[in-house]
Amino acid sequence: MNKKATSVLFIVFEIIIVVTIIGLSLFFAKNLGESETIAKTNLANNLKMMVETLVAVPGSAVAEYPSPNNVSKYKIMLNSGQVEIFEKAKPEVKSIDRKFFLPQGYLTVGKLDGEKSLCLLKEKKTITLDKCP
Amino acid sequence: MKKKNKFFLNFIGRKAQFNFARKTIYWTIAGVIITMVVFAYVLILSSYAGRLTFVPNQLRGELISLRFTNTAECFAYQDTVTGRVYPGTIDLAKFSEERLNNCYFTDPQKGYEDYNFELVLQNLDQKLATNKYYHKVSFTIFKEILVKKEDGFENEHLIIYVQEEI
Repeated sequence: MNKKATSVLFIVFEIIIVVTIIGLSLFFAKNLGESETIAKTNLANNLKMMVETLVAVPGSAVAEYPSPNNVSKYKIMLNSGQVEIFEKAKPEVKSIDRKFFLPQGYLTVGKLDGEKSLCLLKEKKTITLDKCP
Repeated sequence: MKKKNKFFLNFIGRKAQFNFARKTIYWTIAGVIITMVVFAYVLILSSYAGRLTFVPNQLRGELISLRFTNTAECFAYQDTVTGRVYPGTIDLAKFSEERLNNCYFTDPQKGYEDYNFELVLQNLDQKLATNKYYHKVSFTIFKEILVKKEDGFENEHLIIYVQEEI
């Protein structure tokens, strides 16, 4: 093989490899930076902990989810023993859910679709997910 | 003269071959290093994502265990006349296995994947454990509480042994 041709071929090969690696790194970093999965997971974890705390509150109570967290992008469902978060724009994308165990007689209900504020209201043995009053 | 030229051409060919082999070795080593760097990068990103969603286990255990002393449906003392619940006060009459199962009961099959608890009233030497507690203690929570007995209230140390998912 011609020596010059070999060198050119290797240089082209090197450039392709470097560009591919840089491209892959940027792709992964961008995906992580824009990851809705992390936001959904944090929201689900926080709601689960809020429910568990409300269970331990004697009497009635209202807990507001801190407003800097934009929850309007999500559809949130609170079933008995489970909180589930969907992306409103991409409902087909996998949802995040968190399970919890309630004392007997307790009930968690509610659905929120694109509301800016989020509150959990505890009345007697029922915890309801709703927009804030 | 012809023989000299042939030797020269052979020499050039060998040099090109040597260069080719050298580059191949270089790229084999570079390939291994690049693969390792890419794997390390992916691992760092994954662990970073894990850190962003991390909730301390002690916090989770503490929040779940709040119900044992604060909720009337669990062990918290409730005044029968006024209906007032006294958080941090355990009614000894309620301190039973059945009551604990009504308060916190994990999945009968896969409950060991969730938090389980053993509650110990230290001075009274009474113990209760949730349905999938196998004494694999991850951490312990200590609480100073009051115990409501038939003849009044008493100070007590409540020890909560927490078993994380197995």
